[in-house]
Amino acid sequence: MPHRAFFGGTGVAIPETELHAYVDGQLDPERNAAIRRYLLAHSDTARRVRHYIKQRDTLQAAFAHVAMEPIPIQLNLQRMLQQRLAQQQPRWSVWRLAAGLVMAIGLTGAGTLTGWVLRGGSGGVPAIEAQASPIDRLLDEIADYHTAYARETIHQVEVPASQTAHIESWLGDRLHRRLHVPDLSSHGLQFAGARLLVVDGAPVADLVFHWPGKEHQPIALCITLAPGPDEPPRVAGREDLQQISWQRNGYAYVIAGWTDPATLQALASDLMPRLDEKT
Amino acid sequence: MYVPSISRTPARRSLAGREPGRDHDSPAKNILGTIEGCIPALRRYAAALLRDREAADDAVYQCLNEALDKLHTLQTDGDVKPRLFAILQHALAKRLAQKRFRPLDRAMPASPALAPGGKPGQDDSARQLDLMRRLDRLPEWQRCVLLLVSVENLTYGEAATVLKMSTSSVMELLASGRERLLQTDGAPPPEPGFA
Repeated sequence: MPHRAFFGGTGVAIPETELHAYVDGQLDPERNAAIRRYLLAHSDTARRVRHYIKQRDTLQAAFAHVAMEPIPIQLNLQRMLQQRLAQQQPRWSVWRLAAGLVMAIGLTGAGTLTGWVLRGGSGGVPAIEAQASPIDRLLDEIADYHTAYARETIHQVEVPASQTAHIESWLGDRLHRRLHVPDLSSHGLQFAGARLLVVDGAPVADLVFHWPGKEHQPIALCITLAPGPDEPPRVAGREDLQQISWQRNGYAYVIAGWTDPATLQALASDLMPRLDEKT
Repeated sequence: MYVPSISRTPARRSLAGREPGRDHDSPAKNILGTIEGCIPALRRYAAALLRDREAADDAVYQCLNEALDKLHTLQTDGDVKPRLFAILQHALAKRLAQKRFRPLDRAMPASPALAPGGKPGQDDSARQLDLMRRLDRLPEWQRCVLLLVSVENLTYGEAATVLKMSTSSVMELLASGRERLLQTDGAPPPEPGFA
């Protein structure tokens, strides 16, 4: 390409690109000093470099005001998350209910309703109940438990955080996996303790965390067995209680609490890789 | 061509302190906060390239939506800022291709009050506007590189990631773009005292 790599035919080996790296502050200190010395001795080149620096500063000034404006409402990240939440969640729409009924009748007729969907519900499960997906049932149950236990003070957890080693072996045993209580102090959360919930006859480990001073608005991290394909995080809300859930490697994970969806998304992003059994 | 040895830890970085999008802290940092901190810069870059504030914010909106889709991968590897710019670049590509005219002066007046060192005179505004016009006449890739490096403070390596080209291509485009701007400049040379 027609580009000068060297200066004005003088044969001095200062490549053009290195001068620009000098302008942009992208040289190491040693090379930076060498260019500086060169420029002190070569006024023509120095003038060009000054010009490039001036050019850069003028460009920065020309566009600076855009970045200083308040961010318009349509680019508000919180709002975008809320909109996504609203789109994701037609949980009880008439459509879904109808589709669920058809599904349930068809499946019950074939006698194939087994496994996680109806765990512990072998006899006479009403068709209307069977249409809720396992994860939706799990979310509903956890929301109920969490709301009830949040009011408690002494009995909010079954086993306190002081016995974390016991919690890990006990609940790990119930879930047939290694379980580590994650450290969420980077989110300002302290581990309070754990309890065992039962949903559809299956054990659910419920790890409870607090923000200091907000003991009655705990955050629950629930883990249970969930055979089935992996599912990406999905935010769901029930009145003011927010939940985020995902499935990975045969386990379902739910985080629940009275906080904004963004905080839950951040927690989920952080926890997803850390909660894999292998780690 | 010769590629100078670029410092892995340029002096400018250490002086710049904490910038949004650079992962200085634990990897478990609040990813949404990091993205939020980058929005002003994303808007600036899109506006500078498209010269149409509405279309620019549309592109940023598309970029943020895609970023939310891949929150998990954004969280796990490396700096967030260059990867957000890469997503934005993709969103801008189609809009740049469709752009037929530039409602330049009305849509994007030169910054009236933000020249370095306090109150700008008419001269500063005029110089900014003139430079923006000349920038507009550069080929697209040169404009992208100039803006990413000069205005957005990305390293050459980061700009290469954003534009999906080699670092040496970035440096060549930068050099040729700046030279072209210099050649078209009718202003008197700047005062002595580089640094």
